[in-house]
Amino acid sequence: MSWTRSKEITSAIFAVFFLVSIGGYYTDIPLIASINTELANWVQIMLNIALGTGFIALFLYHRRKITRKTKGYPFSFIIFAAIAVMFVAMYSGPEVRGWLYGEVFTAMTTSVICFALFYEVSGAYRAFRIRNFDALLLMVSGFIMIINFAPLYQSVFPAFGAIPAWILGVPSMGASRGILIGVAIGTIAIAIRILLGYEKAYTG
Amino acid sequence: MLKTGLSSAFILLVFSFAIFIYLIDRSVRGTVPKIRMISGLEAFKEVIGRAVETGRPVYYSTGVGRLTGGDMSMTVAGLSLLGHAAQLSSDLGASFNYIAAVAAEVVPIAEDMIKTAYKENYRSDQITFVPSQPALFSVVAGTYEREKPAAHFVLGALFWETVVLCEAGARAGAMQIGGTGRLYQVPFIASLCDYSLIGEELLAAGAYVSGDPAMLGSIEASDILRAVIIGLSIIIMLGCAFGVNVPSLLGI
Repeated sequence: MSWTRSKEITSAIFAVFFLVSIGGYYTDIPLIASINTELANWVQIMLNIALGTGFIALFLYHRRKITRKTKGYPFSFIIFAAIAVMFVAMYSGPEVRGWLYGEVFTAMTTSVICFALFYEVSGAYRAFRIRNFDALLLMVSGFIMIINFAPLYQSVFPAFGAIPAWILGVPSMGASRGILIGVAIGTIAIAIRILLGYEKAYTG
Repeated sequence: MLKTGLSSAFILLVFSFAIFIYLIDRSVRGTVPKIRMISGLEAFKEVIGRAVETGRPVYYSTGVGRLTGGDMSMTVAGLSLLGHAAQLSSDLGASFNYIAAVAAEVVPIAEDMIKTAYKENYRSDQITFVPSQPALFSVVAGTYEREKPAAHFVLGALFWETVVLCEAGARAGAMQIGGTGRLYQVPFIASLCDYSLIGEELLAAGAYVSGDPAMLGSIEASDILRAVIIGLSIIIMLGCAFGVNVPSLLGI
């Protein structure tokens, strides 16, 4: 195995970035602050290089699909055509670029997102079926929160006006903060496991 | 040297590091803590076994979470469990597929894990990369409708895709295990999945399944830290009741 793929190198890179980031956040030492900024710039540079290599990999992958005529290969032509059109549009001025982005890409994306609404509704139906006491609590809380946004709620049920705010401010807030504290501690645990070289999931 | 207002947080962080390092070291030396059973993790074998029995595939997704910022810990936890699920699937002879979305950086990691699990049986089409969240919706809805997965894992830093992933899995009749630490997605996970790993459970999961003493030691340290924070919260609440401003006394 190449030395560049060794776990120690990855752990060392993580340790340097981690300690410098912690130092930059908690201290006001100018040297650490400048190193921290420099490392953040490196990340941007590396991301752009990765984007370039990603483009090459994409090109090679779809070229292979077309030459071998594997399943779905006509879509690879669409990818090449879309890349070419966007490339030309980027140099054709902001109007063309804006039109393609606003009238084609955004419209198609919105259409796809809209069908998620149906999943939301059927998911809500599945979630609100009363199978046990917990589900009953969820259903009652959900019903109160939904009806809270109905215009008539406050005028028809003035006595219950404070219930939604109580649900949000007390049980919901308490549970949320508990989860957040747990996640924060778990994050520290994972960072330390990575720092000490025990957590290897991120290196594959 | 320390920034104003951050000294208490820094001391707490150093204290946390010390506890973690001490307990990890103690665990490595032989005093391994006992960890309670997490039903969601124990169910991995059952869920994958069902896929083998029915001859239908296993699908796994870590959502659109990246390996940076606040998502990092959840994505790492999701990837830890990906390795575990892939290994179990390979051992039991299930067809395992991973859908990666937006975060391209997780693809080589997942590829390495699935290759390690499946060895010479690995196929490149076991991984699908989808570059955007709306594209993920359509890919998942279409694929699950056609393939009818029997087992579905949704573990990681999940965003709005959670409801589509879990609902598509539920429609396909898959047994689902979901987990995230992102607050707004927890209700979907809890209500749509058969087993859920909420918040800290997900982050401890990688350590739990590995069985590595060092990893288990870190879970014990997390529990101690949690007890310290609960204790501090109680002291602050009592202080409020008796008119004492504890946070200002502690310099928080």
